[in-house]
Amino acid sequence: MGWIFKISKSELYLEGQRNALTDLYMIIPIIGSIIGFRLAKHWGGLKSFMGKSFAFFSFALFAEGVGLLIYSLFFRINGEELAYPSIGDFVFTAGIISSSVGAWWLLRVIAPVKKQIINPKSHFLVVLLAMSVLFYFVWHGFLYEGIIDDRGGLSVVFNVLYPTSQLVYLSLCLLALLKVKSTAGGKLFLPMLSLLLSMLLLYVADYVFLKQSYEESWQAAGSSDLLYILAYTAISTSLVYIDAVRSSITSPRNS
Amino acid sequence: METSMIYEQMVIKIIAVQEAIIGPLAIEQASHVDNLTVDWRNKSVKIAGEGKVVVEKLIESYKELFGLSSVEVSKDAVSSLSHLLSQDQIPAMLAT
Repeated sequence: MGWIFKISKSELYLEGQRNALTDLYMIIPIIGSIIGFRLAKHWGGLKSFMGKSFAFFSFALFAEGVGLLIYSLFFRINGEELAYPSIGDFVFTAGIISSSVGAWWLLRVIAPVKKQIINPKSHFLVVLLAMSVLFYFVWHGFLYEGIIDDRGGLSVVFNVLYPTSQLVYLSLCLLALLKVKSTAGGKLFLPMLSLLLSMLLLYVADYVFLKQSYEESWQAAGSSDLLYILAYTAISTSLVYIDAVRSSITSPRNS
Repeated sequence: METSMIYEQMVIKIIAVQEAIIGPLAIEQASHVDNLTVDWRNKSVKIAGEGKVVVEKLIESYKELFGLSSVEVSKDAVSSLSHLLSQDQIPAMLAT
């Protein structure tokens, strides 16, 4: 009897720790966004493609952080483990849209001339094929269940909006990834590649989270949270990495 | 238009398009090209040496950052001016 009490006590402790981690990791995207917004100024802010990309990725990180905060507050105050749909989902959606806009401007940095975006056509075909395959997995993985939801129309809207809007930033990042080799040999090649790969990691995190939510296998501080922590850290670090290259070019001359 | 002015116009167009991509870093890069004086506040530049070489070096400085993508965007930016130069006056990076 004693050991049962001991285990349940330790499990309770462990659950508390897990919830605390889930509550706290919103700090990572929020710090990342503050840094990103500051660095965006070095690139001319909204006056340049790179500055816009920094600003929109930073806003996306900020929105993710605020969305997590809202979910945490619902959990701590109302005891709702998954406050869905809630105001937090509007904020998360704003974050996804912002990621897509950031990805578009990063694509424009890599391919500033319109013909570079359009050509070669094979890049579009690869992205289209990849998106079709992914949509197949999304649909058969969980989305087919989401188009009917007892919780109401708003739930259905978010059920469809999340996985489809995430495909937008993913497709733009994939297209940019196919074109990034045109910047090979340049000092910004690796940092931009790092940012694009970080965005792919964010998509993996988003996909795993949605799948686990549908399967009701999501748990605090589980694999989904770990992926998000890695993705937010990687995106923030990549923004710093890109700016570090700019700084390394300008600093020796200024000194 | 004089050849020297064509090169100066090319430099202005290249810096402007690079500024649209990377912001102030474009002017910073240009200001370190030999024989090129940049007064970006007045959108004017002065080439002291051979214009063809200066344009080459300017594009090279952007190529350091973005590889061939920078060359492509520079080519596109000056396409309306390149035909004003004879074949041997066109900077090698802008040819083809």
